[in-house]
Amino acid sequence: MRIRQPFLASLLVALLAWAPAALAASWNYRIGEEAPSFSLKALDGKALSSADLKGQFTVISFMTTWCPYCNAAAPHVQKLQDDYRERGVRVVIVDIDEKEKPVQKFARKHGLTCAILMDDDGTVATRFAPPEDFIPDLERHEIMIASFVIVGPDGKIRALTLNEKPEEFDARLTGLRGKLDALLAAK
Amino acid sequence: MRRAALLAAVAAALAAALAQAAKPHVASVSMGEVPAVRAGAGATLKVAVTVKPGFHVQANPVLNPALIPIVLAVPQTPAVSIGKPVYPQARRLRLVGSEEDLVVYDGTFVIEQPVTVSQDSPRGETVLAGSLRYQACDDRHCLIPRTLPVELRLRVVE
Repeated sequence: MRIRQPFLASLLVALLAWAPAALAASWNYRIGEEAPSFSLKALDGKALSSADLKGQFTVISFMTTWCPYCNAAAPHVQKLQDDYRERGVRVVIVDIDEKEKPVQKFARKHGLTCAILMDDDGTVATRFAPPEDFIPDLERHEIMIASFVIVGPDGKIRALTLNEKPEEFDARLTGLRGKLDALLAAK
Repeated sequence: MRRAALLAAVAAALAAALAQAAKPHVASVSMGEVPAVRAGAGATLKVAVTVKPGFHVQANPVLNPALIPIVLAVPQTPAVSIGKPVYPQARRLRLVGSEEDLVVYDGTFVIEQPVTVSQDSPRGETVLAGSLRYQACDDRHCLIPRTLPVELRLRVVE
């Protein structure tokens, strides 16, 4: 059977139109589900994977250096790490789609000592993002900027903040600390 | 010929896919009436920027150098010399728990673009193709910086 080129072109068009929607649907995660796996290079050059984080509560802070919310929260993210380290909580920052130099500067300015993972193309942020129909005007990795995810020792997602309630935005991370306290108390 | 048609179809499909993936701007630009500028004279073009309700953009200059200020960029042309844009007064904003103020624009504001038209510039309408780079946030999210193509028009007269 001979397949005509216009047919192939139409097929290609259909595939291109379908692919983003299908991938977005597969990233639809829920609280209690397994957190997406990842392996990223940290700012210090070492690799860190989701498997390395199992066995402890992990707070993942998605950031960019140019985001005002992230700048406001950055010192409090470090404080969160300092305050909860002894309670077995690890804080990691996932920097979305940036070069190392501004991130190094950002880390110095805010005194960040927690691991900063470089998500060069936003792929990992996208894996954590809610489905496409949730604020569809934003790119999926874009929607994760300034969000926080708490992953349990079993690798399952336990909490997520996406600034859903703007009136509750607090750079001091009061709400996030409350969720973390509740999770640790229930352990 | 068929290969060319196929390549064209693929290119069109890619363009369509990219267009679909492209996210909308939250700022738009207007200039109003095209100003008349005498050859050899200077003028100030007024670029009105309107930010979608609920959003704000980082001002120029910003207080925190890590943030991305709005920038109107218009390249020089042989016929029109481009001066340094003048940005309006910004509004101060402080997020709860933050130790720093932000400076932002919202609603409609005007950026002034000084230009000087050369004596031998062709008479009639001239279009200056530039861009507006901005970083916007609403009260929940911050958008990745976007670049909006901008066309500044002026009419060169005797």
